Amino acid sequence: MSEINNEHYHNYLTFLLSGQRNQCHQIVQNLLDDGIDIKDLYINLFQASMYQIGKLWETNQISVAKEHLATSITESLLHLVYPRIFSQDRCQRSAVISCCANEYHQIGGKMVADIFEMHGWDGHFLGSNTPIDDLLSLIQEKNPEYVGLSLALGSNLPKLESSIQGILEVAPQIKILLGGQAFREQIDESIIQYSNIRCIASLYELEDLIQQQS
Amino acid sequence: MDAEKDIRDCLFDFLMQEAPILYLLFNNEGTIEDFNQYAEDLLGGGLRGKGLADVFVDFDGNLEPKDMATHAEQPILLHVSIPGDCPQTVLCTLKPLGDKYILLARFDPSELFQLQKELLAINNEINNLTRSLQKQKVELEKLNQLKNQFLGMAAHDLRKPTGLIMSYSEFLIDEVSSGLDQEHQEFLSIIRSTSETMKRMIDDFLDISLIESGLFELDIQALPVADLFRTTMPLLNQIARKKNIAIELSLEDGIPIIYLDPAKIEQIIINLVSNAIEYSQEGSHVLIGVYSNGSQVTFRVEDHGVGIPPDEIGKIFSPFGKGMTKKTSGEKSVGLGLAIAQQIVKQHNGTISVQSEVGKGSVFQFTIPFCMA
Repeated sequence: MSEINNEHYHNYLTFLLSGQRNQCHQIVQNLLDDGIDIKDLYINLFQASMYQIGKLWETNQISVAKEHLATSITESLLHLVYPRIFSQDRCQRSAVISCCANEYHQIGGKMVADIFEMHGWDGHFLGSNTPIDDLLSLIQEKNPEYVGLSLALGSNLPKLESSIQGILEVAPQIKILLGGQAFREQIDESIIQYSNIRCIASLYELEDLIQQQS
Repeated sequence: MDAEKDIRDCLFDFLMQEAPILYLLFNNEGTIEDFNQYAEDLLGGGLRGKGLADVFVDFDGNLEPKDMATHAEQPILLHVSIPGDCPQTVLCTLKPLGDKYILLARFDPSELFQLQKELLAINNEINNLTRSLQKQKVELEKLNQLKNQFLGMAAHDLRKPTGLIMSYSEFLIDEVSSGLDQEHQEFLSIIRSTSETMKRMIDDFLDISLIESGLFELDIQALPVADLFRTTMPLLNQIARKKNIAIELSLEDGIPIIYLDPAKIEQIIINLVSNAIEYSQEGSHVLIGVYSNGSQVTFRVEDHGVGIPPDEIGKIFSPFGKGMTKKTSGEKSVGLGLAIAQQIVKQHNGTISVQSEVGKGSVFQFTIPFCMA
């Protein structure tokens, strides 16, 4: 079984930065053909490269257009992984994952939903810029054990807080997971004042949590 | 004063020659009388004398000069026609000047930003829909796999008892039917023919479950093409005789030895010719032709039966896609034969096709390459 090494990462990042979708596709397809562990692929290739892209954008080293292109390429490559992820035996448990209103960065949230799927859960993913009413409707419809909220930009914290309040009103006992780039450096203590809210620092931590539930 | 004038002159020159701001001067009729370099670069030459409608796309009916005067107090959005490009939004400010107007315009970044946001949202939605579709596809594939397993198991378990019914009914017809009255002999005959039909269906179910599970394997052998017809022709003639249909076989001379799975190819030939008989009127004839073109051998079955309507042609190679056309003597089938035939041909790296005209008949043909690699 293959593992992501420096060469994979640097080649992939170079192609990603220059918008070479086919070459990125080839690297990922080869890794999948070699039986790469999906978490390794997600964390050490997709996530690492997107964090680096984000850093380059923040420091004005690449344009927003390049950042969007890299995001678009990465999302399209997630599709290559789906046949493996969705073929797991189902365990009849579910989680709803969503981005807050005004939040357009959705890859992280989607990876979280995929990790749930890999463990046989239904990882319902609502996508970016989800209106709170849509999120609440899905929670009421699916009655999930977990709701995951992804936040990339700290400026969207107020939206996140209102989402949490809305969720707790319709489902007071539901467990809420928070994650995303906005929580990487510091966690706003006011957000995690409730006992059923937990910040998840990495996909590894998420996987540990899911495994503890099984 | 001179210094101030110099600055104004400089500013005017800058506006006219270099500034990335579009400047037009137009009169009450909407005719352009003056413009700057940027306007000319953007909109093309020969602007003087052109009307506003020549340079702006009037999406909102804002281009009447008298109406434009009402917008003089606040900027308005217009769409500028750029030669060789799509219209782009500009933010325009108007200043009345006697019976003329000064128009200054710059590109409006807010629309681009909004478009970018909308494109991003659409892209995200497409990706999320793709994810949902992929998940549904995997779930449907799993269900299909379960269906194939069930179909395979059921067909396997039904095959033996059906074979026994068929054998014993044959035995009874051969050995004891002479002692039975006419009605009981008919009962036995019905049992035998019905069990034969059931066995064919069960064999089709088994084949399709193996094909869809990817477990269908060929047993490739080298043989002369004529060998394929040694056992099949007597059987086909027997079926054809019931409807007084003549079968004509035309084998081209000198066809080289071919590599194929004889049992499976015979199965296709029997299927195509049986269909031809079943969809033909009594007293008709069916032609079988076999010829080679150097790299492949073509098998052709032609009938002069009822034909297939154009809207059914596309479905007939799909499982259970037999369409609405009725067989001429009410023969029964489940509609798997052509789907199985297509898969067998595909596994031989060949192709199968049909041409048909309602009321005139159908021609099915399939090709098998001499070299399968």
